Amino acid sequence: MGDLFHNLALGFAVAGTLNNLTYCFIGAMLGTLVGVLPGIGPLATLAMLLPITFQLPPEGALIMLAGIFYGAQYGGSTTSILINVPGESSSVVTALDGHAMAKQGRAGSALAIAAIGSFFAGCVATVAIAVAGPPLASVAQKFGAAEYFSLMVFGLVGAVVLASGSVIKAVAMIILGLLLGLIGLDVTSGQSRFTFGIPELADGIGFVTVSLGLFGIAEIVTNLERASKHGRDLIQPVHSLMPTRQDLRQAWPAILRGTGVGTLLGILPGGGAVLASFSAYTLEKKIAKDPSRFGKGAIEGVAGPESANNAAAQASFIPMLTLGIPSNAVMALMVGAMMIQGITPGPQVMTKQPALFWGIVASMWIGNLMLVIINLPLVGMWIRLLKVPYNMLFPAIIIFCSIGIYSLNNSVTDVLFTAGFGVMGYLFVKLGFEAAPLLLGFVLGPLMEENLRRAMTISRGDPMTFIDRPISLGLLIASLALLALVIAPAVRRTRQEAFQEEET
Amino acid sequence: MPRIRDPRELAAGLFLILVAALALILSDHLPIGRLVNMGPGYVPRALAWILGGLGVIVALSAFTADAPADVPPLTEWAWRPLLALTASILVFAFLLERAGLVICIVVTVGVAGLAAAGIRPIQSLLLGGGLALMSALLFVVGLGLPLRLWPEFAG
Repeated sequence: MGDLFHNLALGFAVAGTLNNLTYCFIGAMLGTLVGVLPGIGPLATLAMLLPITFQLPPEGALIMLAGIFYGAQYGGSTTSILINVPGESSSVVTALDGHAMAKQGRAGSALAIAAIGSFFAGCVATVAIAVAGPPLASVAQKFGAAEYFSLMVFGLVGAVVLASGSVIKAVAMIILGLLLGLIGLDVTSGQSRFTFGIPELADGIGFVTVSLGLFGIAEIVTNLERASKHGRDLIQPVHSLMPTRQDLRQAWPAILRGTGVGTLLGILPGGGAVLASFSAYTLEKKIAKDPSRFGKGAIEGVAGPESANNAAAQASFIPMLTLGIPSNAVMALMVGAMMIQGITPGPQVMTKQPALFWGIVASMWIGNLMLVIINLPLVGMWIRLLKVPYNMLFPAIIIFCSIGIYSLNNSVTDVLFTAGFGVMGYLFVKLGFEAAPLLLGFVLGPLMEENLRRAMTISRGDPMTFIDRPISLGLLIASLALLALVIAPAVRRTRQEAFQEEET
Repeated sequence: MPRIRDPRELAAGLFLILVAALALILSDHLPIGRLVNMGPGYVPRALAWILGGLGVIVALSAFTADAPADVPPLTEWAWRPLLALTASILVFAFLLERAGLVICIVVTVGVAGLAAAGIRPIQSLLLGGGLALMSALLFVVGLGLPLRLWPEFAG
């Protein structure tokens, strides 16, 4: 217990410096700013704003990125409540009841409850990270190459469960991501692989290039495609931000339940904001006395999922920070950002760079507090932002993405590759492939190959090493069980129901 | 000849098989090594075979199950935004070091504007000018990125 307070004190000392507070504030502000824009999710927001953090010191960069992440997530909720255009899949369920509330003139109440719920969930999840982090990291420090390989298999299988479409296609995307990750010089032999003789490819394809192309550029194309078919919804006015006493009384238990669901699901590989908010919504609907209120402006339908997605968003930092394994695409991007800063994510971060680790944890709490301040009093500003036409936005996004990519290495080639990945991302949308598993595979590819080779060398070429070692065996069994669960018809059906909730 | 019930799955499967074949051809010259001492070709080739296998499964599923009702037909492509946006990024890459940031942004925004119907040239020009000014202030003056603002001959 004493350790916990000592650690948190260290964290707050780091996060509380004027510089880091500023980075945190700018991050949360920018994240909200971009996240509020209709049709731009947290992943695209992060990918787009990543280049701004390159010049910062590692702590500052990661604190700012974390701020951008929550900001974008919360901004997406505002958009879905006010104009029923969820910018990302995790606020799809918020739109159901949140927008219904807005139409009844209760938009302010919905926004306030979403903010309060998110803040509460953020506080709980911060404590969860502080408590669960050290023991997990100390377990991970005993891991050898075989355990790491199995852990990554487990993480990737989790990503398959997360994917909403076909399981086989999600696995294919992971494999494709692993292959893309191998592009460049092979570390062990020094031979170049898949480089087509292009010198810029010797170091591999940049993470930012892939993520901006697949998520940023491809998203604009699909948004424009959709915009040409559908018109825009009206923006609902916000009258008073004070939730009524009845709203608060009904929302509190939902906030508690949502926080619990979110924290648990966030830690699991493949879990994350999307799964958490859907599960929380389903839970609220199941235990409600009158389920028919849902979809017509039930406050629990906002409070539960909003708390859950924020708790999960934060809890998903746990496996990333302690094991170095990203559990979803957003965390894959954070891993990419850490590597750009010269930090290899893994259990050693906590022991070798405690200031960095605990600084990020403490900044999460501060960031959540800032979000409440940014969002509630400034809601008028965000509403004005919602009125900016997309025709003005997307050229600006193209410019910022291009400048960001170029400035990473001052390389025109990177910009060209981004264009290529944009086309690829659109092709994926058309063929029904999800790009998120690909990104996970891409980040883990080189690590996985390295650990596989090392494990094989250590065991003198005996693949049984993965089964002989208990932790490795446990992780592989867990992966198989997870895969079996998804493929089992009963679960497949409920999984489809959960993801189809958005159509209703 | 069985009937194709889900063309999108067939296309998706063929795409995977194509990529797998490409990966196999490109890693052909890399030594495989043995399990105990894997060469640089071991993992790429293993992944390529798995990918190809998955591609076959996906392609075959096109004959066994119908397409879900909400899947749009494969023939609908948003060519206009796709081509205009891709072209705009290529233009950005071509002009940035040659013409400097300001001209580059104005032209890029102009090309990107072709992606959506209803953007008039004057709007594009104003937006491009505004973004050029903003980027110059933010990236060059503010963040100090080493970007040239104007073409070389203009100083």
